[in-house]
Amino acid sequence: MTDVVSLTLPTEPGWTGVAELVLAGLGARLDLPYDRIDELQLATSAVLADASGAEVRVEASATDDRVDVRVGPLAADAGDPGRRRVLDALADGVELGQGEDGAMWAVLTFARGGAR
Amino acid sequence: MASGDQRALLVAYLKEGDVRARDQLVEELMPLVRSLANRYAGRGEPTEDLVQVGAIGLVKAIDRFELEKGVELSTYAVPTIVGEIRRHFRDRTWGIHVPRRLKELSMKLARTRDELSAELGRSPTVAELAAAVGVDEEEAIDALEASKAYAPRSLDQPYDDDEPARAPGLADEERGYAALERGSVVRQGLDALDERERRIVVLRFLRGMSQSEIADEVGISQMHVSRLLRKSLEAMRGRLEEPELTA
Repeated sequence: MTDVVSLTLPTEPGWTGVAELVLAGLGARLDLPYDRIDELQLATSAVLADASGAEVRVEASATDDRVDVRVGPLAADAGDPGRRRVLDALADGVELGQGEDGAMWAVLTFARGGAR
Repeated sequence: MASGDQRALLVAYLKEGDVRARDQLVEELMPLVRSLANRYAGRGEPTEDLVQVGAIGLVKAIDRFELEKGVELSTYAVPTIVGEIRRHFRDRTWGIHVPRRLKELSMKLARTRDELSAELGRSPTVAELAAAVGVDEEEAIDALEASKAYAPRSLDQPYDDDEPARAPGLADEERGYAALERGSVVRQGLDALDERERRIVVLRFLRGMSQSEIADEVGISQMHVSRLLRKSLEAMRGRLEEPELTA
């Protein structure tokens, strides 16, 4: 079974907390340890800070063993090596690439029983 | 205390540098500080902290007192003491209004989180935390999220009084970040951080240590590590976005 939660938020820092609260709920349903939930939020908020345009979408899908969070559209430099390194350390999986809209999107994966 | 005595002490301190005279003035005026601090009691900060902060205001007032103005020291000191107490509330309290019950629950969860981490050898889940403090999961999430609204005066400030403001060993030279590519974006961003923040960023992002492991290594709570990581990333981002660095 997959639970999917989609949010469309204004691209302003104040809205990041809404996404974080929703992700905390998803992480808790999956029984992730709290430090993993914290890093799920941290990684997502880091990606959200690279959002371009007036609105940003956060699509989180949770299965029994993982949460995937897709965030975009993002600025073109969202995938630079420095930022990528930070995301790689936080998430179990990071994919950055062009979405159907031609813009950069990120997919962060957090697994139950992930390495960290 | 007669105002003439106060004036003599002020002259001794301000004109002759007699520090004992200042100490005596502070001692004599502490009841004033206490009464002002009491006005702000019951707003979530320990009264004794407010007294301490108020005492700093008093010392500042004495140092800045101008003998020529002809006002009483106590009159002159009140706005400085109150200003210092208000600044304390502004800098070191919850950034948004958080109900008292939620604050208490959040503090309790922070302690429980550390205790359970030690007991389980890993970070507890929300369900485990909620069960340990006897609330449901939604309440636990509310309180954990609310704790993010707490704005410590600086990154060195402990979240609660159970932690030392500076953990031992932090002054150790941390060379790990030299392992980063010279001139890389992260490397530039690290310059924006202080030594401890840099160390935590290095341990988390380069050494791949978990927050719990870093908490053990550095001697602070896991929640404090999380807070420092978050702030560090924000500081790095701020630095990265300075035009001269991104150009």
